Amino acid sequence: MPAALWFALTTLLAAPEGGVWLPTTGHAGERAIQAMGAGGDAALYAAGGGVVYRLEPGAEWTRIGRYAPRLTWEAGGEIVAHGDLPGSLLRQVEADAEAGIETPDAGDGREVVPREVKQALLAQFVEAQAETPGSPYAVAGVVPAPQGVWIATGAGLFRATRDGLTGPRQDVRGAVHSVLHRPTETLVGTDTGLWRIPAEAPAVLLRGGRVSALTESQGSIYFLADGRIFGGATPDAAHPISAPSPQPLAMAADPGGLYLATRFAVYRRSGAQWRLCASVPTPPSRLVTGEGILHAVAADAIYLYSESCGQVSRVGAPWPGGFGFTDVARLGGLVWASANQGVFMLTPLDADTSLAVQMEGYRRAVTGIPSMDALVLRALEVHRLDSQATDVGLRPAWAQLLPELRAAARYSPRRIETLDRGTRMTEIEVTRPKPDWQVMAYWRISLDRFLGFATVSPLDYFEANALDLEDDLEAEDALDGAAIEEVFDGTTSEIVYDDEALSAGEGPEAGLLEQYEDAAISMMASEKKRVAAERTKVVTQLRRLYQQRQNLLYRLWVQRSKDLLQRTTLLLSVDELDARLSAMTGLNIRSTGRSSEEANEAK
Amino acid sequence: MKTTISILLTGVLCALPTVALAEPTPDAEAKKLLARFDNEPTVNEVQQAALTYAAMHPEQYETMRTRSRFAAVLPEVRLRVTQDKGDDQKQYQRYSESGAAAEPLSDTSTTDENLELQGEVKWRLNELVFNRYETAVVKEHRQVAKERQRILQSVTQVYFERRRAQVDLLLAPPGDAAGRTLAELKVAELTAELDGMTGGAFSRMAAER
Repeated sequence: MPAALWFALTTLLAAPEGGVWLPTTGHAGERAIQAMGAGGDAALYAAGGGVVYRLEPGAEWTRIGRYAPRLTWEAGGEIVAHGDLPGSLLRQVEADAEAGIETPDAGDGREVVPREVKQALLAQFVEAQAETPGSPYAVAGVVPAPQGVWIATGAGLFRATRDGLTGPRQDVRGAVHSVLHRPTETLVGTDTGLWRIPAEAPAVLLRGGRVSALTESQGSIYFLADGRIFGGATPDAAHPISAPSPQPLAMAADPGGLYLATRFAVYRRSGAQWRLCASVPTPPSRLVTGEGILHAVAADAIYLYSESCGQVSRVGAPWPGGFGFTDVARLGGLVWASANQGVFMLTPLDADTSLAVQMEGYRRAVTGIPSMDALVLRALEVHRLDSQATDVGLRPAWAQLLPELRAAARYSPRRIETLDRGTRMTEIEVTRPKPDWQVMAYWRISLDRFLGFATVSPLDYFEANALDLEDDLEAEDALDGAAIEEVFDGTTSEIVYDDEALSAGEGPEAGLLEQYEDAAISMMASEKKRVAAERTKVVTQLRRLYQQRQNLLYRLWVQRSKDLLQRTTLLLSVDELDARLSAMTGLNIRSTGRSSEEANEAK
Repeated sequence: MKTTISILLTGVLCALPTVALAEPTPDAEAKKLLARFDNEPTVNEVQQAALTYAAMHPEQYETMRTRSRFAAVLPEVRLRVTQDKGDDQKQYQRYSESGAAAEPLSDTSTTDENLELQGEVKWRLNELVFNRYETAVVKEHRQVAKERQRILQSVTQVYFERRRAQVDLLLAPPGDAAGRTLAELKVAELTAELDGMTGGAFSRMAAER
C-alpha cells in the first residue's frame, strides 16, 4: 500500500527533458537490438535478432557474427536453422520454431503459407523469442571484457572481439543472465547457478540457484540469487543482505554504491542503508552505471540520474509508434541506447537536430514497409491478376504436339459363317471369346494457335468456362460406337462403323461448333478486358492507401499534435491502413510495430 | 487511517525534496490508452476468423493448376459389358443387273447369347502441358480472391470503426446519459456486426483472453 501510494504521489512531480536520440547508421542502426555495451577495446557492441554488431569510433555498425541461428522456411514446409553454432542449438531452435509457429491451412488440412507470410511468421517468432528469458535469441547483457565484450544469451556465454564471435562456452551450463568481469576471473550467473571462469581455465560452479544479476561495488560482489540479494568480498563469502523490497527487478553498482530497482522505486545502498532514489513512472527493465551516472532503462524512455540519484531526467523515444528501449551504454562521454528500432546516441536538444531526427523517423516509418511497386506486384498476385496467374503462354499450342493415346481391348466371341453352296445354307460357328487389341495415337494440331489471338482452343475454353460440350461432341470419340453411324457392308454380317465419322468435322455439328468458337472468342476477349480493369482498380486502390499512409505518418511523426484524442485517432488510422494494406497484399505490415532483422531482410 | 498515511507520505515527500519524476509523453499516453484494448482480439485475428467462417481459402487453388496437369498422368478408363439377348436374323439376297430379285443367298438366324467385354484406356498427353480446365480454375480462383478481399476490407473497417467509438467513449464521452447510451449502443452494434462476420468468434476470443 505505501509503495503504491508513493508511486501515485511521485507521478505528480516532473523533471526536465534531457536531449534527443540521434539514430546511428550501419547494420545495427535500424535493427531490433536487445542489449548493448562498451567493450574493453573502446568499441560498442550490440546484439539482437540473433546477430552481434560492432561499432568503432567514427565508423559504421558492422556485423561480426551470430549468437542464434538464422531461420529459413524450406519448400517442403520444414523450418531450418542455419549458423556456425552447435548442432544441438540449431536442432533446439528448429524444434521451438516448429512448435511455436502456427501456420494457416487452406481449409483442407494442407498448410499453405505465402513466401512473405513465412518471412513475417519467422520474424514474429524471433521477436517473441528475444523477449523470452532463456531463449537462444534472448540477450541478457553485453558486458565489458578485455579486447571486447561478453554476451549473455539464453543459449550460453559468447565472447565478442574485433576478430568476431566465439561461443557458446560449453563449460557454463544454462541460460546466462549476468556476467561480471574481474581482473583475474569472470563470474557468470545462469539458470543453474553462479560460475567462476578463471583465466585460461574451465568454469567452476560456485553455487546453485538462478543468479539473475551480478555486480561489484567498493570491493564487494553482489548478486541476485533466486530473488534474494547476496553480498560479500568474494562469491564464496557472500551472504544474504536485506533488501528494500521483496521483488527486485534489476541491480547495478558503481564506486558510489549499489543500486536496486523494484516495480515502484529505485534504491541506492550506501554503507548498510538503502535510500530511495527518484522514481520513474514505468518499472525499469535494466539499471546501468557508467561514468558515474546511473541509467534506468524503461520501455518508453531512458532515465538519467544525478550523482546522488535524487534527480532524474527523462529522454523519451525519438519518434512514436512501437518504439521500445532495451539497453543503454556509455562510451567516450556519450550515452548510447539500444531499442527495437536500432541504436541511438544522445545529443543535446535543439530545434534543428530534433526536426532532423523526426524526419529520419518519418523516413524509416515510410520505408519500413516494402516499396509501392513491390506492394503492387504482391497485391496483383494475391488478387490473382498477375501475369503468372492469367497468362498460359504458348503452353496450349505446344500441348497439341502431344497425342491422345488410346488402347482398347475387346473380349468377345467371333462368328465364322461358312456358305455351303450345295445346300445354299450358311453354317455358323461361334468361337470361344478372345481378346482383340487396338492402340491408337491421335493428334489434332491447329497451327494457327501458334500465331493466333488465342493460344487456347476456343472450344476448350468454352467447354471449361461455359458449357459441357461433351454431349455435342461425342462423335469426336472414335471408339465410342454409340455415337458413330452403322453402315451396311455386304461382305460380312458384323456391325461396321463409319470411319469417316472419326474426322468429326463435316457433320451437322460443324455449324454449331463454329458458333461455339465465335462465342468462346468473344468470352475470352471480354475476360481479358475484365482482368485489365480489375488490375487497374487494385493498383489505384493500393496507391491511394499508400499515399494516405504517408500523409498520416507525417502528421504522426513530424507534426506531432499534443492532443491525446487526435494522436490516438491517428495511431488507429495508421493501424487500419496497415491492416488494409496487409489484407490486400497478404503481407504483415506494421508501421507502429517492431522491426526485426528478418523483417528488414524481407524488404 | 487514510489521514495518517497521507500525513506520513507528505512528510516523506518533504524530507526528500530532491526526488523528481519524469512525466510520460502524449505518445506514451496514447499507447497506454490503446493498451486497454489488449484483451480484445487483434484485427489480424478477427480477419482470420472472418475468413474461416466464410470458408474463404483461395490458397487451395494455388496448386490446382499444377494438379490438373498431373491428373493427366492417369488415364480415362471405360469399360463396357454387353450381352445380346435378342434373336439375330439376317437375310442376304442377290440381285441381278436388271434389278430383279434373285433367290436369297442365305438366311441366317442365331439365338446364342453374345457376351462381349470392352475396355478402353485413354491418355490425353497434351493435358500434361496444358489442361483445358486451367482457365476455369484461374477464373474461379480470381473470384474467390476477390470475395476474400471484400470480406477482409469489410471486417477491417468495422473493427476500426468500433475501436474509434471505444476511444471516443473514453476520451470524449458524451455529457448526457442519452448521448452516452447511444455511444455505447453503437459499440454494441459494431460488436454484433463483427460477431456476425466471424460466427461469434470475436466475442468468444475476447472472452477467452
